[in-house]
Amino acid sequence: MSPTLFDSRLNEAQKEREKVEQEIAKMKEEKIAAPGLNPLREQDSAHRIPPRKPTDYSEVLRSWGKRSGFLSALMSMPEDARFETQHADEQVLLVLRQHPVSNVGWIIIALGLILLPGLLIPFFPFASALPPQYLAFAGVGWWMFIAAYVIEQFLNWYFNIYIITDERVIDVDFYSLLYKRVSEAKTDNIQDVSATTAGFFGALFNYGDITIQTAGENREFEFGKVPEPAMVTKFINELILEEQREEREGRVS
Amino acid sequence: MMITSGEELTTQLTWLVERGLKFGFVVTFLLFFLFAVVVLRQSKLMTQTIKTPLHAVIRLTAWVQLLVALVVFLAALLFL
Repeated sequence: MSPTLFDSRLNEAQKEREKVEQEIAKMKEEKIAAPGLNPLREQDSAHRIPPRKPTDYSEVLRSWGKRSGFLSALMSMPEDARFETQHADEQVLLVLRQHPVSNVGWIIIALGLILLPGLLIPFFPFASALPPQYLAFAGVGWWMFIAAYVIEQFLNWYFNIYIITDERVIDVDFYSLLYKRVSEAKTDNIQDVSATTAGFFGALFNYGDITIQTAGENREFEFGKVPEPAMVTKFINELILEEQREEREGRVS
Repeated sequence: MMITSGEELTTQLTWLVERGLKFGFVVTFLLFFLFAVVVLRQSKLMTQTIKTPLHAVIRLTAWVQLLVALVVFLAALLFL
């Protein structure tokens, strides 16, 4: 074989090798980026054990079973609840909002507003001197004000939610319809969970606040006035234990 | 223009009060309309954040509120 021919064959072989190496690197990157795959065990797929079902490790979820409802404050394993940033393989385990009793305050105010014109009109005799269309518009305006107040309060209650998935804890806050804040912490970043039940209504209706301390950017999460705070705390602790067990056993999360 | 009699003064005051009330009503209904727009926009945002079966009812309520606010605002402009 002449040196020229040898060189050209060598070049071809090198190019072929580089091409193969590039393909292998690309495949490796794709494998590592694939969701649900532990990169530490990518070469040995036989070691991968599928994650356990939440009811397998959570006594609390087993006792609650599947709970859902349009206006429920505690929904466990709801099938129809989805959220904006949910991953494809992420399962919503718990959706919480403030206990319905926390709505009593604004409902009483709304009832008071409905009754207020009837109580106040005798003190304003000049109101009857107004043209009828002005009185009609005043009535319509008053009812629109009450409707706006009720809608605003209801939306604030309904969409201020706390979501617990098998991977993380999410706190969605809407304030006065104009301000939205979504904070989240991965389960393995949670350091401490505590529950507080305080006050007459809290003890009577079994609701309270849950404080979650994390190692992440958002240091503290507070779930306010959620139902069954002790059980929810126990459930979060079960999730943390399961996360630690998964890490120890190298299971897919 | 000079006000020369008590009757004229009453007429002028009534006119002033009526104009003031009309202005107050129109501004109030305009604010309701703007509030309804915000509710509609936010309800969309909220229902995107968490999808629940009540989504359709909330959106419908927001639309109804917006339409009512618009109709009342226009009626106040026309009839007051």
